[in-house]
Amino acid sequence: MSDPINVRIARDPRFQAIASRRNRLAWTLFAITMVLYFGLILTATLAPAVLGQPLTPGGTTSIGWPIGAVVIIVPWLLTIFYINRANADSRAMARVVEEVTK
Amino acid sequence: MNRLLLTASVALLGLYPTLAAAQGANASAPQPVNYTAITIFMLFVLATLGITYWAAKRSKTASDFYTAGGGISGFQNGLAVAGDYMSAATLLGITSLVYMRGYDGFLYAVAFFMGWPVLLFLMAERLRNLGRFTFADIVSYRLDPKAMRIMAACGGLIVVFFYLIVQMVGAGELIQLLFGLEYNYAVVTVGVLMTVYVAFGGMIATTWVQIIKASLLLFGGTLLAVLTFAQFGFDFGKLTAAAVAVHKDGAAIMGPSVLLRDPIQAISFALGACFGLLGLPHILMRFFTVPDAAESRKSAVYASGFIGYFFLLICILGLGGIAIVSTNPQYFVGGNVGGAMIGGNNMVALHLAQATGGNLMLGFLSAVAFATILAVVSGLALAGAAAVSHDLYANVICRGKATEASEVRVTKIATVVIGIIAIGLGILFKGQNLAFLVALAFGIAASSNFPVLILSMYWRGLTTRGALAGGITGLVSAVTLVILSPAVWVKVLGFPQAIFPYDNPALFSMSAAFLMAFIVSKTDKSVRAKAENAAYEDQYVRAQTGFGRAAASNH
Repeated sequence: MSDPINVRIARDPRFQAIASRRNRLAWTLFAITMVLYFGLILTATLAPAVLGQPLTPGGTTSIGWPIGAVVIIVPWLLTIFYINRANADSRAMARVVEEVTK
Repeated sequence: MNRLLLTASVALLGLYPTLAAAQGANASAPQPVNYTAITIFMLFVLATLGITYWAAKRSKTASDFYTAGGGISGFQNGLAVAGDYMSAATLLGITSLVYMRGYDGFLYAVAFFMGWPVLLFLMAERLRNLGRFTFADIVSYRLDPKAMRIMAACGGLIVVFFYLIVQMVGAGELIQLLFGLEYNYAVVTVGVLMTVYVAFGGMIATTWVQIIKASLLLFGGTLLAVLTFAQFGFDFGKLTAAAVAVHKDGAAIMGPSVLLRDPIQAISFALGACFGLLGLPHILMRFFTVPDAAESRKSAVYASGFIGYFFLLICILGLGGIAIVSTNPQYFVGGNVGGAMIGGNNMVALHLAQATGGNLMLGFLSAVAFATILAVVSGLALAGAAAVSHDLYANVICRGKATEASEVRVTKIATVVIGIIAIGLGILFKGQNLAFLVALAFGIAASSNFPVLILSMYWRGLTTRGALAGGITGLVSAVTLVILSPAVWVKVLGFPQAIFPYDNPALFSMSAAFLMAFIVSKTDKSVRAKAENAAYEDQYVRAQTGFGRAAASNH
């Protein structure tokens, strides 16, 4: 059933190492994103007063605003981190495929 | 083409007499004729029709039509895909939500941003490496192509149509308000222009329409935010202080209030908003327009950046609206501050534009809002047409043996039919409260399209039976729960008490879909199931490397 070239690529230890490294990275960053996101959502629903308290004593801006901004900005920074790593991995993987298939 | 163009220009030129009529006959048409808006919008239409003409000459093959020949760069696609997501409803709706509820509106914006990084981490590469024209390509990669394509196409089309209805009705109301063009004419204008862009220019034209519009929207949003923020010396503390001082809920707008009060509702909403994105066919389709996985990743990073930035801007607009618009009698019916806002609460962003930048800024933002609607419906129509022609016609009816020319012809016919249906539904649903359709579109996307797509990408054990059971369970449960929810059961059907108390079904329907797909796949001992599991290895290598994509895409 499987294409013999694909089997050779799939069994190549270098391919396996790169693929599992990238999968681990993707799922780790996904998990961090979800922790931030559901951290904010659950705080908002279970302890809304926490997000409503003022940032500085006597000020009006609540800590919720910068926290919400962090929940947007940090995952975005993670996307930049991810593509830098993933691009390097893709190049390494392309070299493996080239060697296996030539 | 000439005839359609003629119809479009007639519909557009029809603007002037109706404008005058609307002004004379209907005093409730609140906006004065804004020539800036009309001029800028006309320029947009002329430019995009010019692009469509140029694109039509370059759109010959199915690949040109569905994916612009795969020749869109990561940056361009990032702008285009962000444009697909940033509709007029986003700009006007979230601004008005922040205006009314303060921090709750911000939480809403955060939730609708969150799918973007997730799309990058889990899907961007695999979409590009495994798919060709539609997301059904991926779910049918190793599963039964006929059954999977029918289900994926139906899931995609349902989402497209719900979204289209919302956009068309919103377009009609907004354009009537902004330009004084009568509702039905507005809907027809939008429908005709959309059909022209897509049927003649395919993905190339649709992408460029989207890129121009996204640039205008980002520019307009930035300018408005700067003008607004400048009134508070670019000091966020001063802005919030001014907003809290005049809002009827006072300091309560600085924290969460009603949106997420119930934890189950909060989680269900959060899941639907985030994972719904990963099942929207018109968004997924854009990831096939780039040349390789690296550009696909890049588009997701750019799109995340643009959308995150835009949503942060919108919060400044919402708060600025409270501080500036809510106290000015000019923007309220009868000058009654605190009463009904002229044009409804969705007009906050536009009133703010008038307040901070005068009629020029109002005209510019109105034209951008109109352009936004056109671009978004075009993306939707193309995704719908691709589901009909590539999935249902070429791969189900013709079993993959359709000639390219006939597939392209069916795409064009499907686009025209979708355009006609969209106009019809837009007129039919005039004046309806359609908030539930958005919940439904995201609910179905998150509960049917997304689970099947992600499992087919990541889980070796998924079988056709499991995927069908999961997808259908998600679809049926999402639709049923939305019907039983307050938005339909109480507000549309008029029953006193909702059977399902939450507005968003995702927590239940998405879990049900995953669970069903898992159980049915696990108990599927058929020969076909074994072959499908075995074929995962091929798929995995291609998902990781893109290797074999060119060869495989020809069958």
